[in-house]
Amino acid sequence: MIGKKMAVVGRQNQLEYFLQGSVGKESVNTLLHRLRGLCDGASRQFATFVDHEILFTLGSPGSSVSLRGRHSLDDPKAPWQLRYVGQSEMGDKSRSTLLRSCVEVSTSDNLTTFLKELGFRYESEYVLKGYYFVKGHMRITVSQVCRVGSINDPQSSQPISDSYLVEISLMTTVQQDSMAEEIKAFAEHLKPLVHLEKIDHRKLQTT
Amino acid sequence: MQDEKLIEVSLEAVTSRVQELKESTQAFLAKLEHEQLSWPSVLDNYALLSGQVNTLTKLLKNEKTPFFRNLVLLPLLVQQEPDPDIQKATDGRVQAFNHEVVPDYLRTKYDPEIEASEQKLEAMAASVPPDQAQRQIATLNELATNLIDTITSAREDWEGEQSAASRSSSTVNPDLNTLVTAVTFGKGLKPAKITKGRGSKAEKAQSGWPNEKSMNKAPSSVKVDAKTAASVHHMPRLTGLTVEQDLYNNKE
Repeated sequence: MIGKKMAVVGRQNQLEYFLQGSVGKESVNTLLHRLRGLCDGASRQFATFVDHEILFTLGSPGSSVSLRGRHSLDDPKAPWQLRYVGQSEMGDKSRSTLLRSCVEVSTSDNLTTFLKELGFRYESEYVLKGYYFVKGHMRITVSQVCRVGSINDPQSSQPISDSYLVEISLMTTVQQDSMAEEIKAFAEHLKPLVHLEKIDHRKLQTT
Repeated sequence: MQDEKLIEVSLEAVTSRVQELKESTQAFLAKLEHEQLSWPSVLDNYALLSGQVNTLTKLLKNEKTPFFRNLVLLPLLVQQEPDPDIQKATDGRVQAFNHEVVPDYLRTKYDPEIEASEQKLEAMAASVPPDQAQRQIATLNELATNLIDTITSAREDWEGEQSAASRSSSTVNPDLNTLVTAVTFGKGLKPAKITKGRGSKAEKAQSGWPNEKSMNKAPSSVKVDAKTAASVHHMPRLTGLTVEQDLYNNKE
């Protein structure tokens, strides 16, 4: 069933433009306030989310494929998400955001069993707890990254840092760098509370 | 003769400035009605308008500009019939120079009501004895000075806060690298379990995924032993993989 859905996904959004930043615990309320003013549905209260994500890999280190299974802890009825996330491309200076391929598909809740049957190996897991906002096609999340105490027990998670991870992302089917400009312009509004940047993931990986 | 020329030139200048001001006000109003303006662009429009008002005021205060208030305006004709010239000059707002508009356009004094209340105020001011007036002036001055002091100190406080905020923003993106590596590569998420459990990682993995693992586990308890032994040696990743593959082979 998953395979079938993967075939369909070809026509959906496959590229993700995004920027990342973080904000200290003490400023997070100010940031949420500003986001509430800037984003769609300003009259609503903040939308919160708690997502549990498990990273699976197949193959030996160096030539492996990773897939992420994600599901909401807030809403157990929501479908699981299977996600493939590619390497983040820095691009040159003319592009103001990172770009990566990203394929997302909804699955049934036995996703982990299915992946294990395929030979995927459990790699790691974490829980994201926080708030999300929508502005046009952009999705903005402000969340704490939590380490899970013992395997497959997301309830036991503890934040790994007092700071919140802030991400703006925009999914699209074709490469359109004007989207990056849109994100950049929005990110400007959040300064100096949070400086959203192009984080070079390759540099981080080697350190 | 020269005076007349001067007046004409400066009148023209004033008219053109006012015309510009009118046009940009109209454009702004039209934009407000028909477009969705962002706040920065609204501010831009305001800046334009206030700049134009400023040039107009400067022009009127200019030394070379004669005092228009010293000139006499002589109305020649008051009539009920619509006057095309006036219509054109006022963009159709005033149809005719008739008895309705004349009192407003040719007024040199305030409304009688305003004049009356002004007179009342003047009378009141005159009735105050001079020494009391002095005292009142002194009190007012004191108040004003205090107010200015408060504002200045408030401003200093505010600027101090601003600079403190900008200093705290030197800790821009606190812990960002940790967060990003955790989310992207899963770094920093695993060690906790190992230090916490201290036991074999493989065993924990099994306890985590009971359903299919326990099935696998049953037929080969030897493998599990191998696993626990392997993970004690500092190669958890590699051995974990091979053992797991073994398990799958075993199952087949």
